[in-house]
Amino acid sequence: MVRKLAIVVGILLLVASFSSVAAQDGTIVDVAAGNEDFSTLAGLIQSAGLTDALSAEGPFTVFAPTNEAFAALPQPVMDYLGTNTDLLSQVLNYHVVEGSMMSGDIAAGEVATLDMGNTVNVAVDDMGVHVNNATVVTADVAASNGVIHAIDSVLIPAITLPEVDPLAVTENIVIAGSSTVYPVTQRIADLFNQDGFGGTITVDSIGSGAGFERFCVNAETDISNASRPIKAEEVEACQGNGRAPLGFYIGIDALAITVSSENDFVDSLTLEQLAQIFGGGTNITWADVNPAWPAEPIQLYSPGSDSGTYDYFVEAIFEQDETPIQNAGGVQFSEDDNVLVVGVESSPYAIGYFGFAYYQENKDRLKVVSIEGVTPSEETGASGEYPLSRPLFIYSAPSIMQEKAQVATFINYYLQNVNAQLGTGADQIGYIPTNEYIQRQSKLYWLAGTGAMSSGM
Amino acid sequence: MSEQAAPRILAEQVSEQTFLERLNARNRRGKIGQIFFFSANVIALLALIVLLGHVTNQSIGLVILRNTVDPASLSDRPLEELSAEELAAILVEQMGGRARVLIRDELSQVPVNQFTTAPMSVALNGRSYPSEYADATINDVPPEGWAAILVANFGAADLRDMLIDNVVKPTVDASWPLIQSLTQRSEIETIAREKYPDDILEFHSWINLDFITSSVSSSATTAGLRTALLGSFWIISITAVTALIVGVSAAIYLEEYSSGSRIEQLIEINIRNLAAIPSVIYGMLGLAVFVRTLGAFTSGAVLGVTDSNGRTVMSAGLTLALLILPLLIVNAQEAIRAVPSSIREASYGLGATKWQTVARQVLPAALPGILTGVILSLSRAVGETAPLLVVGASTFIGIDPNGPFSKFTVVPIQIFQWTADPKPEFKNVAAAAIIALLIVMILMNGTAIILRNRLSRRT
Amino acid sequence: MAQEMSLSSPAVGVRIPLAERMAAETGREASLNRRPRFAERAIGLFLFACGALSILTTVGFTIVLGSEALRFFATMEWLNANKQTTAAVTAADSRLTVGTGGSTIQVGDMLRLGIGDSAEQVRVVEVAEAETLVVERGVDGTQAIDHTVNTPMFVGVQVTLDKFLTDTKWAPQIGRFGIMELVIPTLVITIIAMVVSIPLGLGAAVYIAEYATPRVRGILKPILEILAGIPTVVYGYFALTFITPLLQAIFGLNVKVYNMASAGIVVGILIIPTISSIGEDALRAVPRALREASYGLGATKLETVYKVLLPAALSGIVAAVILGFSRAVGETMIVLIASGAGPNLTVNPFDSAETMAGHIARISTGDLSFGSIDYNSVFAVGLTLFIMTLLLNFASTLVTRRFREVYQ
Repeated sequence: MVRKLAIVVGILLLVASFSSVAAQDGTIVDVAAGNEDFSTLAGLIQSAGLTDALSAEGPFTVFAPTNEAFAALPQPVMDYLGTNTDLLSQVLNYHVVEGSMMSGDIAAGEVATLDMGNTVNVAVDDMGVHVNNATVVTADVAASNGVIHAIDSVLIPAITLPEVDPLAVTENIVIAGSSTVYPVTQRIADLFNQDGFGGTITVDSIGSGAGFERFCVNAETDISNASRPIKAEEVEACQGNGRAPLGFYIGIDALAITVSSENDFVDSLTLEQLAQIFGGGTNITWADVNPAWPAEPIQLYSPGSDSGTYDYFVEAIFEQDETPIQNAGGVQFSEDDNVLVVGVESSPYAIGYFGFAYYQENKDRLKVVSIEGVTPSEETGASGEYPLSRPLFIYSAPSIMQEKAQVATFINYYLQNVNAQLGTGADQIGYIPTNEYIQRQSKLYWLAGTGAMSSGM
Repeated sequence: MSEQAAPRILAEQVSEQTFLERLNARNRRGKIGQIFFFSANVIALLALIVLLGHVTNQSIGLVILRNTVDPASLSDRPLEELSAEELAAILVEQMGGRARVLIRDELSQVPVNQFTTAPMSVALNGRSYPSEYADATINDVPPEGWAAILVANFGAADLRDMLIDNVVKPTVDASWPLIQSLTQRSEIETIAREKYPDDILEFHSWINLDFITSSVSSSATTAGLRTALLGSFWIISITAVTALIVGVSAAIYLEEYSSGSRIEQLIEINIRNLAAIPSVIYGMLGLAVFVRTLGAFTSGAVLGVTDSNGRTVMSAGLTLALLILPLLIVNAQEAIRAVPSSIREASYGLGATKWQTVARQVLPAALPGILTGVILSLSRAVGETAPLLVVGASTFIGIDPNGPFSKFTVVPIQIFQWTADPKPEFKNVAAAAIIALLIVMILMNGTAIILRNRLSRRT
Repeated sequence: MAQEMSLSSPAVGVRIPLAERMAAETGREASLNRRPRFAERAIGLFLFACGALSILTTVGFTIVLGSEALRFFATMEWLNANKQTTAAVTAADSRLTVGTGGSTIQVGDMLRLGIGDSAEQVRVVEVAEAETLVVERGVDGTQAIDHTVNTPMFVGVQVTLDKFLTDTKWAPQIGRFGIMELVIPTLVITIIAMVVSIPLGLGAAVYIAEYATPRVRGILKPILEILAGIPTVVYGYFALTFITPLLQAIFGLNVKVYNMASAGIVVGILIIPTISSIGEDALRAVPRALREASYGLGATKLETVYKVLLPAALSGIVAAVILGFSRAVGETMIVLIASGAGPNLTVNPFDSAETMAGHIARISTGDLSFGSIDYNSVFAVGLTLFIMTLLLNFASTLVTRRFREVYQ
């Protein structure tokens, strides 16, 4: 029924728009060049030598990333695309579909692109039209030889990274940072060792902030684990040391708010209640939050201020203002998540938060609380429905990856193996795997980071 | 008050019976007092016994082991009955490319970075391997070849151990302390049957040779103490050399050369004060001076070491040396003071210079005492944790330290780390590490005592 | 040895003055003037240098802790405001537009824009709206410069000694530096430790010094020494895995898993040997005549101990107790493992709280980057702890002096 309706609407729109297409006299290239939202794209089309191809008769449908979409790519990636025109034209071709598809007649499904017929996934829901992981922000910008839909992120075709043989790699890799990402990196490092890596890997769990300190300011580490994106001042510090930070999105965490399994009164909390609880601590009682709950002081367990989890929590709950949680009574801060687990477990009046994996590890002793009625899980975390889900990263820099082959190889191995290790299975680490499109992005970053001219696409 | 009271008591006439009663009461109180004083010792002793007992209790007991791969699924016959060829074939089949890693770790004769490029005749020089692979690199050898190489070098028993370590990989599902294991065996067996029907219940000593020789791991069954032991060893070596030279020299100066001037008195008082400063403050000194200010030296940057910062074995060793110096100096001073002055006078009388007297007469005579003091101070250094946390011990490293500029962890810090782990079986691992640490300390103290006795008998 | 023998052999029978004899043997004019012995001098100097190293260490403590703490009090601490500029600013602008969220900015606040040497400091003159600030540019000797969009902002906090000593909250992240929140729990744990260790330590000292036969003493003293030699991390493990469950079994749920009582009790056990060994020395230093006089007057052993020995050895015993106290104040690993990981102003022994030493160790675990707020504030805590133990030690030395004077 819905589908039929969509088709009817589509036909109507097609008819309506046909005249406007015909009325345009500029080609797609001209339109892009003339629109200041697409100036980056226009420049890239020119440097890739695609001007002629896209000025041809067509008609074409172009999913055009806005300037903001390109700005979201790290500088090393843009530089890399700038020098590697083969790859650039592949990427750009991947944004172009034959035929003129107006937004109305877009049908969900796989659509072949000019990039050797590789397909993009088009989906329509009540939020709008999605292409892979991008969303159409402005539809139906007409041109003489087709139509342009502006999208909010760059589409990346499937990328195959070179095969890794850890047995052939030696020398050392130094990693430090987030305690949330720590178990993942540690697992990958274990596998890398088991697969024959001849050097040594150190992984220090010291918190995202301290990790970036070592990575950017002291330039001591090769890879920095982070449970939040790098901050502006950290990027500045990194660049001071000749490192252009490159973040690889390796998984998703559904930040778990947990209470002891002996706690029989809290099952679900709203974000406001969380703010009240974590801004109060022993200064208030559970009854102050909800009169039905016992009048016992609230015992708080929080990751320390050096951890990305803390930063994320303060951002999500307190709009980046640390004052409430720092002023709360008797908060126990520890960079060691294990200390938090033991603390939360110990009393029915305790509450704490940490990465989902630590909850998974200890789920027989802890109870996870639903937030805004959503229970953290693989599904709700991946879809973003769970309000406290967040990306996990490892950071490195092209200068390091090009100088130290073992680091590039390790990150390659990481990207190829991490998803199998994430999930709720018996031997998996309790974070959520990233989808295909995020992986492609990380893989592109890897190519850019290593500067490998032979793109494995 | 007492002036008024005293005559009254003196004047008081006491009957013999009252006197006896009072005497008895006083004696009774005396007895009670004695019992109290004695029980203070008993409580201290009890605390020691409970502490050691608690640690021992945690380090041995029943565990439930779950196999990652069920041995029954590997072969339809028990592993014990399989031949070397069959075991090697299973190994290669299960491990795939990782069998190459096994060959490298167990057999390779070349540095790790050459293993994949060296032909077998070089890589496995002196080992047995099928001759047709002599010129092939490991990646040119087909999987059957890997199995053949394994069979050529190992017997069935070795291969079975490899299979269990690398494929079967038992992990701990639950563990019980020693006392419970002994007294509630049947209940535990019931739990094991009901909750873990497929798993193995067995008696496990957490402290064993594997534990000492394997490196850290996130799994309790394979976690080991080697990295931390080596770290402790390296740090104590640096501490020992530094503290011995500086400490004994200082003691000699204060006892033999000092003229008792202001500055020397100041040094004496100062040393006593330093002995009472909390060790964590020494850590801060080490952080500011060795790690930061002298970072170029302690990281080895001046010697061309590049992949390290100031948080090295060197910084840690020097920090601990500062920490134990006061104790060491005071002990050495006492030992030197105990040398009869007649020995010195005889030496001077024969025309020896001061240094000749010190080096040839005083030091040899004082040596037992000095060594005892040194070993006792080092044994304190072995157990120190807080200053090393501040100086920047790595909390989890898989690399064995291999020199003064390595990153490090030490046994007490490893214990601290395991203590904090919420997985209950890590309490057992921590207990095992504590036993290892206590054994090291007892060995050191025992050596000190034996050394003292033997050398003092000779002089 | 051989040389000395040959030297002395011609002397037998014939008496030749040494100088002449040496002149005859070496063929040179010999002088009995002191010869300069450079090697001896060098050795002497080296030995002195080693002795003086202790002074250097103390100077090191003073300079390191003092200068870092001075920096802490003298200069402004910059807290990350978690805010950025939302538009570029030229050097002439006096209006800043900033993001919502992050710290609340008030009139009079000092802000720093950007990081590193190029950072500019501004003073907030007016908060026009939540997102617009009117500021005085380039204050405190900094230059007004252009800033790009998304320049990170920091809020300045000036720590004064007064605030340091009177504020009741220790939260460096939000600019609260009240050392009392760490000092009070330190004292609570120390007092618990003293309650455990004074009776037990002194009892053990009295027993070993006065009652025990040499054989029993030979057994008891090594036991106490072992107790003193066990690494503190082992005591911490013992506190967390044995004493805490024991306390919870006795007192129920209001005993938190990390609590001061269990840490205090175990610190008490740790310092029993300190008190007992110094106490025993003090008791033994009491002249025998005093005991014999007391027994001669018919006093029982207990009465002798209470009325004669303890008063006579009082200064030594006080010194022992002070040293024990000082050790308890500085004990780190036990409190780090067993008593909790967050500053908490409480005197309830079953609550979690953090001591000064424990706080230093926790904040420095793994990493402490230079110049960060944690680094500077930890040194201020360290200096406080250092001064406390130094004063205690000084007190103990004073008391010991007196005790020495009495019976020499």
